[in-house]
Amino acid sequence: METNTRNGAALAALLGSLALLSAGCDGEPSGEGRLAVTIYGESYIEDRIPAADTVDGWEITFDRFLVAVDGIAADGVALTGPFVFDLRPDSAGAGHPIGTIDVEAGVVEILDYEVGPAAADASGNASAEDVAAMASAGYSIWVAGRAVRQDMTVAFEWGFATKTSYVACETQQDVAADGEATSQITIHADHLFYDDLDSSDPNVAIDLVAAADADGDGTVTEAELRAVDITGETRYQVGSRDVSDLWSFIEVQTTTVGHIDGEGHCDVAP
Amino acid sequence: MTTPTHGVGRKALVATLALTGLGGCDFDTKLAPRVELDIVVDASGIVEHDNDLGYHIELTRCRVALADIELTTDGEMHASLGQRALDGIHDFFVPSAYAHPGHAAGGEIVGELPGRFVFDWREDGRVLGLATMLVANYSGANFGLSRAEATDGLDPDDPIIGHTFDIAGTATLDGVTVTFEVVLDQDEGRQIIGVPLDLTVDEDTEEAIGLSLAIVDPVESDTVFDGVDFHALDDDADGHVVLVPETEAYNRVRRQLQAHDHYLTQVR
Repeated sequence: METNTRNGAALAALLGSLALLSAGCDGEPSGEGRLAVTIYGESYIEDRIPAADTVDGWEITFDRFLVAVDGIAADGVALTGPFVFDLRPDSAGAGHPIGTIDVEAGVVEILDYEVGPAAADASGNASAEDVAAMASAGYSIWVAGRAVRQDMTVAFEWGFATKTSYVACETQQDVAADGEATSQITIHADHLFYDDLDSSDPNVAIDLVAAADADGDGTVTEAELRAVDITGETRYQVGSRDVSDLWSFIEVQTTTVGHIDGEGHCDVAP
Repeated sequence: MTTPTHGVGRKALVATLALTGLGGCDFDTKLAPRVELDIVVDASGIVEHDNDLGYHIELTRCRVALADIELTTDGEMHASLGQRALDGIHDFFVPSAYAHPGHAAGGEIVGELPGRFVFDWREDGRVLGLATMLVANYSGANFGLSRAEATDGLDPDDPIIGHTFDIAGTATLDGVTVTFEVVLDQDEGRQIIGVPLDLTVDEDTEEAIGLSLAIVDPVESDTVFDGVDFHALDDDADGHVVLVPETEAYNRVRRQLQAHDHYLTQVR
């Protein structure tokens, strides 16, 4: 009896081991599934940044928020790009689908992507004219919109050529065998209006941007922002960066807009 | 005043584990090679100088409150230090360069002197403490700018309490001298990342590491007080100027003091 019990326990252990082996060393299910990748600008882009969310009472709306994305990979498996998406159209909270990646079943832990100058052959939801314009100008991010406070309106249309590699984004999506999960590249538009490059608790602030409209035509341009010396400002601190004008400050902020699955973080590759 | 560490945080705890070889997954009990080196104040950066407006400036006081000095490598380690030990430290010690303001970048942290320190940058040779350092080729240093507290061993009426810097001096232009002072705040948690350090540490290393404030950036020659027109600030013509918050002069000085360009290390 004792022997039978011992043998039974050994058999159970062996079967358990075989089951673990067939499932993978870490107990994850075997097989493949699909990881859908979307890109979303949240209500801040699709609707507005409400006045209550800015420190100085300006409300911001975007007419366009184009982002060029490439280099998407989930745990090292690539999704062929490049892409350009306009994040302004309403996605009903779902974001815009980019594509799917066949992955091993289990937890997809890492998503990488790059926001860089647009390629002329990019796909996505952006119009052919917009893609061509971005590629021609070398833009990675192209935004247009307006800030409104009471009877004041300041418009802007800015193109940025920054290139940022977001790596090791902590997506943690569990993909079942023959199943599908979704990782969302999330773009935080409010970062463009942050008033500190290092603080973990910056304000979303418009006053200094609005005041840059030197010619009073109601539109703040790159040249006008470049003319604003921020070195005497109480906010707009830059740490050790060699940044002394407002355009360059916002340009650095464009390298911080990328996140994952809402508020998830990514590393930025040097 | 230099004050001892008030507590051992998670970082330090993990460091201790890693440094003693207990942080590895295989429970390797072999001690990772390490040394303890003095971190001292280096006054060589506090020099008489001229700012960009031509004022000749001499400091008579230059106190600071800082915290948690970290020593970093660019990844080049001595072979005697197992990669597992480095990984163990790296996972917990290296703040990721998260795509978000406020997050740090820099090398891998393999040495540290935790604690809070309030001192005058002119006090050359003053020992801040013994840093625990793994055997490695060091390439940088980081530290936090803090706010002084009464518990730092200060008199209750010490003007630096609640502030980061307490600086005073004289500024002379065209034969007219004004005295000046500024009690200056940096945001809590503001980090100085990437102060250059060139030091190879092995088990026989005995040098100290001097930490200095370079009033004049040795590379670009800009100064902490560039843009400050002291005579223009002396509204009442009493020969004394106080730089106050929310003013351009104060903000300029504050900005300069948060740039790593103005901090150096000296192996001594």
